Amino acid sequence: MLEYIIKRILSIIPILIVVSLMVFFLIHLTPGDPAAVILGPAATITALENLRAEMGLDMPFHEQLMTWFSNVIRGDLGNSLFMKKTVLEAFMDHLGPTLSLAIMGQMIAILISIPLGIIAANNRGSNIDRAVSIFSTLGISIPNFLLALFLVLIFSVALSLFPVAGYRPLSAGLWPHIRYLTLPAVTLGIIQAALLTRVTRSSMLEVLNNNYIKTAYSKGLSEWAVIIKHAFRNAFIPILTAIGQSFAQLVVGAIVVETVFNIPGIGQLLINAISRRDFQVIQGAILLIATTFIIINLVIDLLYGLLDPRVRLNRK
Amino acid sequence: MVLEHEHLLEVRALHTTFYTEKGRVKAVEDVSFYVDRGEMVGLVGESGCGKSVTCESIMQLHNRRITEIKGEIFFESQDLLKLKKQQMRNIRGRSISMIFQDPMSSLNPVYTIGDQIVEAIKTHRKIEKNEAMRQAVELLSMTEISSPEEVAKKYPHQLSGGMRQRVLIAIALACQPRLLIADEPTTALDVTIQSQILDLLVQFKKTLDMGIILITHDLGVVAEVCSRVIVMYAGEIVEEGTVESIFTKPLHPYTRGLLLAMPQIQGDRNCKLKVIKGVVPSLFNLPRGCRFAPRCDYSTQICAEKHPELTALDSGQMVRCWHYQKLLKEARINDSICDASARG
Ligand SMILES: Nc1ncnc2c1ncn2[C@@H]1O[C@H](COP(=O)(O)OP(=O)(O)O)[C@@H](O)[C@H]1O
Ligand code: SF4
Ligand SMILES: [Mg+2]
Repeated sequence: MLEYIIKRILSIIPILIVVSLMVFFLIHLTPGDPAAVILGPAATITALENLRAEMGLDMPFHEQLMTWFSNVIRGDLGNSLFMKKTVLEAFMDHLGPTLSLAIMGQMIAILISIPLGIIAANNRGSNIDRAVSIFSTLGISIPNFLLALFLVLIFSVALSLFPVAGYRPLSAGLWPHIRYLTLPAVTLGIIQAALLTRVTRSSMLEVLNNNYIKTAYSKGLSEWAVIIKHAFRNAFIPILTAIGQSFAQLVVGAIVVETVFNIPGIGQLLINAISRRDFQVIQGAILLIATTFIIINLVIDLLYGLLDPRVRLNRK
Repeated sequence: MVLEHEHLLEVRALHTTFYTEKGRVKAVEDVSFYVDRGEMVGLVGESGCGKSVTCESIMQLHNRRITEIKGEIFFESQDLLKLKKQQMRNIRGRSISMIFQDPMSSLNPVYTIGDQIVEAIKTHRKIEKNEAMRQAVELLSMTEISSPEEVAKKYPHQLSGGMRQRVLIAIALACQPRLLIADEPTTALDVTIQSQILDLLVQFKKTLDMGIILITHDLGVVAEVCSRVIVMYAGEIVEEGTVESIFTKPLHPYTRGLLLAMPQIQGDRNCKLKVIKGVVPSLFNLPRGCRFAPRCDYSTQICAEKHPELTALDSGQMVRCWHYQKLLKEARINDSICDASARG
């Protein structure tokens, strides 16, 4: 197991290197001069040159690459061109709301999708199964901003249960924090749930076809013992992979939902940075989001080993 | 209800029907048979003839929503089909156990062997985990697994097919059932392991005085270990009798075909391997008369038109064929069937 863990952890290093290279090229291979794009057509020559020097654009290409690389390794992602902060500080300032939103959204998604998927699979072809399938089709096809607006109309405007928009940090108290995040998290959660319900249903169906399910029933176990202890325990392995992979979708969803609900998260940071052409922030934020994504998948890979003895004991 | 029959298991007029998206499938029709204590009964027939469905109906393992089981299944004088869910659960694994065909996929990959046997024990008995584990190891050594303590700590993927089948036998025997249903327990295994597993079943049949239904499509296996044979074709029983009578004078052309298709280990030169022509008919499109008619060398007009009933002979042998008397005479006159019973 230790060997497996070490191997997994080491395996993400080349991925991180490739990702940071890609982020670097993303900025430097975009057509046109970043300095000119930032300052606009009215910029003076001196202003342009100053900015180029500040961004290191006047150096030869390979030196720029080396500088970027050594900075990244030291955790220095540069300074924001507009805010008086380092990119890392800016990112950390906006991380809290997004993290809360993503966790709450994912939790809602899991709480909805896993029971629905299990029930649908166990009653395959029944009306319950059909209803669940309609839910997941709707959930997958509805645009997230539209769902957000519906929820706001019903629960904020009509029923006044939740605020229309805004954000309260955890430091303002747990209850206000949750109250403000509920509708955005539900929006995100329902869309995530639609996807995960499908995955849960199909991997449960696959597992239920196995002979060991028959063995379990013929031991005299109750239906729920078989479903949870034998079927779900196996089906959970692919579900976990899907949860990991859906994090990318979750982040994209979070960015849109943050905008609709005016939440000061990473989404807002990115959108502001893009509209102001704050290249350093765009670069840094993308790198950090990608890194988070890679780490989440690493954690999931490790859980995989924990859940599946075939992975744990065979991959030497 | 007081019933006079003393059979361990008696199935009467079993009908199992599936309601699938493609339509109604009558997988088992009017099947009746019995099994006594300490007796091993062979259930044979080509693949798709309804052997597994018959046995899984006894255990009621099918999805209730799409399955209709009719008839009576008396086990120790109570009709299993009249039991409540909970009562049936108490029977499964305690009084009746089942072993499935494919040992590779019949064990749960994420639990240790020991835990899977312990689960079988603890489902029916309130005992300490440690004590259950001790019994699990004992069961493993009973199935002649070497170093059972170590095997108990292993996961299924670390064992060979033969070992896994032994583990499944250990699970099935955990509560000393009175009836064991073994659904092609050796099909997936190689020949030496096959006979070891069969020996185990024979041995447990004696020591536990257990009734065993052995499903197989290998008549050689039946000749070795069973006392009676039931032959199924397209969801029905077509012939039933003692191993001796079935092997020396098969009265149904299908049984005869199965016997002729048996590979002859003793190498009788006059007896060529002869596969039955054609395939088992689709359950959606069964012949109107005898279900075997399209493949039968003895078929006549009546066979195509009228469905034959299962007829009991004085000898106790049962056969579902219009022309069994022709076969009876033939069997007496020339012994064209290879002497397969000699291997029994
Ligand atoms: N759950 C099911 N739904 C529909 N048809 C089934 C089901 N299980 C078995 N059958 C059909 O019943 C017939 C008998 O199958 P089975 O009992 O498995 O044959 P075998 O004699 O090989 O064990 C087959 O034609 C099979 O397709
Ligand atoms: S009834 Fe006719 S077709 Fe059917 S097995 Fe007998 S001889 Fe063959
Ligand atoms: Mg079968």
